[in-house]
Amino acid sequence: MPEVTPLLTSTAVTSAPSTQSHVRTSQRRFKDFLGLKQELPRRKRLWLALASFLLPLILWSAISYLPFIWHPLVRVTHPGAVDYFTEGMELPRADFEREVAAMRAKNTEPPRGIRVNPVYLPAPHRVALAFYSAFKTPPRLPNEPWLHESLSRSIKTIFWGFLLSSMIGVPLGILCGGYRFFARLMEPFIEFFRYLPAPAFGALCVAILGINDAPKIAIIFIGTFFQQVLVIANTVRKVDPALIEAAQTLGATGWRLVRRVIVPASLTDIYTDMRILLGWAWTYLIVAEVVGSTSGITYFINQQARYRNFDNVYAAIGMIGLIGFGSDLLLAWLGKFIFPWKRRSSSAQSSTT
Amino acid sequence: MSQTVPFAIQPAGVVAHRFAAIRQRPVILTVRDLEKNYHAGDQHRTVFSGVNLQVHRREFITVIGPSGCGKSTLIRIVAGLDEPSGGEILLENQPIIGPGPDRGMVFQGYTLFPWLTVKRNVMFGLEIAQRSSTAAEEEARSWLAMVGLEKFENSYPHELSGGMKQRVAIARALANSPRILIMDEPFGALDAQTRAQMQSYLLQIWRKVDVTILFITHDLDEAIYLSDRIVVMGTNPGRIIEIIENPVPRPRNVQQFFSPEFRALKEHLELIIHPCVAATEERLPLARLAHAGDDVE
Repeated sequence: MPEVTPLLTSTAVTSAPSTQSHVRTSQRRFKDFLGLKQELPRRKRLWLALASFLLPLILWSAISYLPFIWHPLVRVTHPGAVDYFTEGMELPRADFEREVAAMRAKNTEPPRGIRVNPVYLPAPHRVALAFYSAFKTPPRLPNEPWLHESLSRSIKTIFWGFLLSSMIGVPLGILCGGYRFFARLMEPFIEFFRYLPAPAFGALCVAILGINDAPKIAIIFIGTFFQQVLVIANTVRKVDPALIEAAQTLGATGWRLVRRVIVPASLTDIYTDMRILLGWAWTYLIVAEVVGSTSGITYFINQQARYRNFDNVYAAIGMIGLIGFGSDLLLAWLGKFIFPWKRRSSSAQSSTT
Repeated sequence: MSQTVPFAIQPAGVVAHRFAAIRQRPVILTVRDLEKNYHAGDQHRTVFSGVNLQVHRREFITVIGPSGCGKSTLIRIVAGLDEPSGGEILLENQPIIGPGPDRGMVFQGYTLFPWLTVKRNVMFGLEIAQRSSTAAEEEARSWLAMVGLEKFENSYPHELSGGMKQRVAIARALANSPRILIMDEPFGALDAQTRAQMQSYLLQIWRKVDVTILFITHDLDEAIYLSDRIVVMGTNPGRIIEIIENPVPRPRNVQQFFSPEFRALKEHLELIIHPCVAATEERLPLARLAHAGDDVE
């Protein structure tokens, strides 16, 4: 027995501060989340990234599955004695209830129905299913494309438009960023041209390039190219002048200075610019695809909306998001391997400042 | 100039002989009547004028002075990164036009190329000079060994500490075999211990390598510990106030910080620099504070 007593006291002693420290850690945890400009640990970042997708999904689910939140329409399941009601028709709730009241007053059979959302807001599970079933939805006409054909055509359009734009835009941007001469010579016009909306050139492109994919690629080119030159020129101009001076004192001049210092110094930022510009190219895709003959994913979306298959419409829009977001994540991940010196540089920078 | 220097800090004995020997050496750098002005709109500002200096081969010169005296501008002009408004600078009797590999520079900020490994950073100048890659690599390795970083040749700059980065920067500048190494407060961003270590490294390297060093600092101890001669610059207008021959004998060590000649020289420098510092300081509106004190009473 006497051996037990010290054990008990020791637990009593340790338990008191442990609850205190628990309070303190929970306070600290709260501070960790809301610290200003303070990066969160990896696990928390992942949870928050998940939550950023979950929150809108929960909202959407609530609107779709909880009838009392919105559901402004009633779908008739049993017409009763109302002569113009048919099974499956949908009408505003107020109209439906007026008919119910009227039938009750006449002592005839009232109609029955369930509350539903409008057809343009399908429930999450139906859209989720459509991600698969949209690929299985056969085109109505034999010469119309399947979804995967539409998608691959869209991706090809983006690819060629962005590639052509980059092949000319990146070198020009570097030239403008590196040499004041080229900047003064080209940037005023590009600055002007950038304000001309790319879709405005739709008719011209079709007149010049025909109705196939060429005008669509041209629209994406016009949409990205001018921004690209300016954005990359600015990035190149932001190269730390101390690095350039250091290279000059090591004997680098002229074109060598551009190739061996200015380009590599701005390469990681150019890569980031390109990722952002690729996102813009996707927004121009939808415009480009209605130029001339509608094609690609836009064609699919328009057709499905016409047939009121809104779950397929949402799925197709979602696919654009997934492809865009996915390719960006892929590029970010690849960037770590292309630029090994950047892998830890953000933390290194914060530790030196 | 030496007339104004008190007797206690005039080089004597071995040190005096050393300076006599230095004066016999060929002149590497000549600065003659150098002047730098800035024009911003109607504003006309003289950074410095009438700067004259002769640097002999393998001399270690430090330049000190309060901020605004133009010491950074002076060495930027020597490096070719800035242009003088008047006067001339000759490097081995050739006028300086623009930056070049004959004048290496180590900056205060870290200017290693972050996309290159340590070895490739040191090879940079050699590759620009179109040395064969095997020769450049070998040379880079030996310079890294000289600064004690041969084990880090494949690291990237962001993996190194501040002191290590500056050692690589020194190796990179020296790999070009410059006639003169220009250092603009290279250890200013380092902590006190690392700085002391770097100063001792630099002296060791300088002893082994045939290079003249022009070193800017605002740390008087650093200036005395490292230099042969100390150039003291003043402000309003920027000018050279005094060029002092450092009486502290070589080889230098930390104990000398407490030697009489070291302390006498430091005191002398403090007394020259301090009025210059006072001249650059703005007068604070202290009248207001006094007024607040009256209210409290």
